[in-house]
Amino acid sequence: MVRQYGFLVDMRGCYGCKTCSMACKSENATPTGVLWRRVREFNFDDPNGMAFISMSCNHCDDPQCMKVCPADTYSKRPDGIVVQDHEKCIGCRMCIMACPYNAPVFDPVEGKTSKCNLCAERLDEGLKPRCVESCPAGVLQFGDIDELRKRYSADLSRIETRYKLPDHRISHPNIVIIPAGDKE
Amino acid sequence: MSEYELPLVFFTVLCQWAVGSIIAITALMTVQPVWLNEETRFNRLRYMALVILVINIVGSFLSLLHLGSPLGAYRAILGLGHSWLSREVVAFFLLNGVVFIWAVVMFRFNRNRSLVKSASFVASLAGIAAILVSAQVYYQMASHPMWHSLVTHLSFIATALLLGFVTISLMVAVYHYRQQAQQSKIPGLMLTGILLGVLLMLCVVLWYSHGLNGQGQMVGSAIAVLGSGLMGWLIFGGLITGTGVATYLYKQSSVSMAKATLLMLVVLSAAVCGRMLFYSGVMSQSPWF
Repeated sequence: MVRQYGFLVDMRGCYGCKTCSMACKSENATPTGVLWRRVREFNFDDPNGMAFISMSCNHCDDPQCMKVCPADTYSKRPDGIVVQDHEKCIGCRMCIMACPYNAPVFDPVEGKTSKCNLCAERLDEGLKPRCVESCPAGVLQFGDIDELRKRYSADLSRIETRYKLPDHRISHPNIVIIPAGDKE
Repeated sequence: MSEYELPLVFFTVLCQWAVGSIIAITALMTVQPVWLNEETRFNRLRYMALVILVINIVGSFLSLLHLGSPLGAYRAILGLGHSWLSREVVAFFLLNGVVFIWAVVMFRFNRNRSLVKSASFVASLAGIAAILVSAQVYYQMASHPMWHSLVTHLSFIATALLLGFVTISLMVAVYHYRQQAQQSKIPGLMLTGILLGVLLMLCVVLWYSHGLNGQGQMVGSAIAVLGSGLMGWLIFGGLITGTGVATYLYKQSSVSMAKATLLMLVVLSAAVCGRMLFYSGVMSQSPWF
């Protein structure tokens, strides 16, 4: 039994094709301007280089979206996936303000927010999340976060300093990041 | 425009203005200056109470404009167990009830001094509680250091005190002007209230400046806030004009309606600018990842 699902992002192989982002958009038929998974680019000049991080909702242990939502739209499934009851959303955007990773996205046309649900319906059918399945470089993986952390013990604090990411102690995200500079 | 969150700006500023005015009226009745006789209380303060009630109701309704789906606003209390926004909704619903009762007492039972004092005291406490609940909504967000600080609470209280005490002090000064009561003094407690509001607001501005020494998002917030032209107006309209009003009223206890309106607009617009900075200091950095 999976205690908590999570993502692994291996930045070493990511070349920024954004297939994950497009596959997610296509799978979930999100409206114009609404991307549940985004790929952020980092440029360095000492030494010259670039890196990419693909990120969506990190299904945190302490989800800030769930904490601030006044309409009680967010809940955590037994497998740790943070899901949103979209019908109940009132579009106050508190979840957007609170999430350190900018996971919830507001659709001004519908007047509501939505976010990645780790393709919960696909997982329930025994399939992989669409982003993981679509990644041509095998950069994205998913699974029980304890297993992923056993396989790769990438230190989040070091990565946060390097890529100016939010402090993981705020929400305890379920993500393992292997930074671009690390050896194979 | 979205980074300023204007519906929330006007909601918070108007409701804090209303609460600050109730606190100032309570302070005025506590010091009970000689000129505040029954007739004055009856004629002046009863209409002021109605205006304050309207400001509080309008401010509360403006918060609905922030919602993407306003028709679902009733669902905003479902998260009462964990969400400070749900608690804020309940707090302001209750506050409107308390302010309504207070306004009725001020309007209908104004000659009963002890009842008016008690109602004002209760309304002031309810108002302060609602403001602190409002501040908690932003304090709760640990990922934004500019909001996740007690300065958020300080900033909201400063706005209430500055606007409230300036409003009631100017109202008293206009009353003196019309009565040609040049000898009457504005109670020192009212002017102290203004200066306390200015001082607290100065602390908030200095804390923003101190943010430049920080790191990460706090530096971004400090740069966004201090680099904005709105900061200039906050300093001029809030700190300088606020201090100027207190100094002027200390020396001269009367002022014409036109001057009072102009001064009030300057201070009010500064409070609006300050709140716009509060939101844009964080929201201008979105998306933060």
